[in-house]
Amino acid sequence: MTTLILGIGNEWASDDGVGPEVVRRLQGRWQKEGREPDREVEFSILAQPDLSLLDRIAGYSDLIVVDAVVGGQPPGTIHRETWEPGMLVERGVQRASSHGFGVHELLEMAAVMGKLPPRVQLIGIEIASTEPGQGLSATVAQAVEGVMEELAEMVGAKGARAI
Amino acid sequence: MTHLNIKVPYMARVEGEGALDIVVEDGEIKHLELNIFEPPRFFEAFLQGRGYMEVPDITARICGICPVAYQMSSAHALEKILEIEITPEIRALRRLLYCAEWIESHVLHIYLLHAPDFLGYESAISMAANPDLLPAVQQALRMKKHGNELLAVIGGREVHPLSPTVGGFYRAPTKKELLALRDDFEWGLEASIASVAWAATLDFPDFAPDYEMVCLSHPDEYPMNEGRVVSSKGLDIPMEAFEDFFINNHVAHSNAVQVHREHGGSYHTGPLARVNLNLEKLSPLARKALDDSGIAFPTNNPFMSIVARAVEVVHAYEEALQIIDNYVRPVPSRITATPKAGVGCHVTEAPRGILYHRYQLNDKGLVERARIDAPTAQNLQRMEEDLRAFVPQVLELPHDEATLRCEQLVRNYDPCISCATHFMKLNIERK
Repeated sequence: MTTLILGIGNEWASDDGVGPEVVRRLQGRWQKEGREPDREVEFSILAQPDLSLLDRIAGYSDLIVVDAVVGGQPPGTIHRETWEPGMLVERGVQRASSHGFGVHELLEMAAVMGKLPPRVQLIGIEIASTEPGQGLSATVAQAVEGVMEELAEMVGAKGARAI
Repeated sequence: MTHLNIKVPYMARVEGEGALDIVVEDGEIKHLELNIFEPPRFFEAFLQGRGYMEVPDITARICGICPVAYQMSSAHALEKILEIEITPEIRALRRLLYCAEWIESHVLHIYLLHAPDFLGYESAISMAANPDLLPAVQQALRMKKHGNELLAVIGGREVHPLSPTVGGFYRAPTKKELLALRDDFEWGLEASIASVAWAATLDFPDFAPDYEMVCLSHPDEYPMNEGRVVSSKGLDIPMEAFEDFFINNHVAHSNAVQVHREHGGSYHTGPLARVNLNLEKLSPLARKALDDSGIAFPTNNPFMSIVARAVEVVHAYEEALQIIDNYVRPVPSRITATPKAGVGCHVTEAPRGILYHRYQLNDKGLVERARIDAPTAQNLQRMEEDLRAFVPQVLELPHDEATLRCEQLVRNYDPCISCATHFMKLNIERK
């Protein structure tokens, strides 16, 4: 029973890096506080969705994907979903990476190849900008703490280890 | 059907997108345009004022699938200016690096981008959902991973390698590091041979334009980093004469550069040209796989490029194993030089075809001018001409299928836009 919390995004494209920012800060906080795990949690960061994701997520009981979202809601809005096959395609989610595969294609691919963890949760954070450069815009940065708390509740974790 | 309107709207995204627009009225093509963003335009400007040692690191960022090609063409061109002679050990390691890139790039295209066209699937995902085809997809992912792993061992990471540079490598791998991949590559060689046989079973439309095929040719080896620029119509020139015979220009309907021959004609570069013009240089098992496939090469059928790619994957595995077995770690791993003013150009064989770079350095070693002609820019005019020739063949097909065939035709070239598969999202209207 191991949960993988996966932050996806390019930290050199401002708000697109919100997923990695959440994961890095949560990991750092838990490590600093030295909490004992009552449930195993691992962290991972992927700058851009690619085929390496298939092997990265295989073998976990739970996967939580934290990613930037452009969905027409105000920046900082948090979306929460339990992933189901076809869900993102039906909603017309557009692939947002170059050369091939976005998150939804990769999750679908993992599903047909039997590599998808049994439970998959998606957390999307509405972003304001993907301008080149590091750092989150103010409204998105404000949402990070809330997402971290939510993740802590989801995994019931008092500790974690990095991979 | 005498009227057809195929419209693929431009989608504003990163790294180049394609748009296809075809209008046929009364059986006559009234309008046909293929628009592609070609990122290297911007890179040529970025490079101005940069030190020569930065160039391969910058050009690598042009493409996430073929960064090695951009590093190799730039490094070789700059070495000519700086009068750097690389050692045989560095030369072998560069070929090994190119093998890695050909494997990961070709396998991705063969199985995940191109095969769904032939087999009638919307995507590799729906293809993989068929239990009969799942093993092929699993095999492809494993092979692609081999290419990426070899890239990481040599270059320091799987994408945009860090180690390759002007004069060689910042760090050359140990023999032990390379030998760790050997078993995987033995498996991959067998899998790649099976891939050729599988690709040969696909249905190929009857279509074979009178191409001028252009690629490198080397007296002793299958072309990657060195050779003369040759064509199926008798061209045979040194790389230094490239710009006398290949002209690049901007066309009004596209942000892309198009490259054509000096007489205005189009040409075809890529795996099909390489295999056609270098049959005798293929590795023994690659040649055998091709002969056993029953597909007669040379061929001008662009749909058979999938077979050419599969054959080159065999070659890449076989040569990679040979280089690994004979590997001697280069010492030093790179040859250094003092800055020097001058102009240098070079052509290497990217997965998608010949890639031309030219640089002008000042006496401080800073770039004053750069020119980069990407394979896709060179194939663009040919793709449009292919479409013009091919559209009459599909006019009688159902609309969706006609559109799919046109997309497949474009994908024959493995165009290095960010989304070869994106051509599948089409908005089509019949007149």
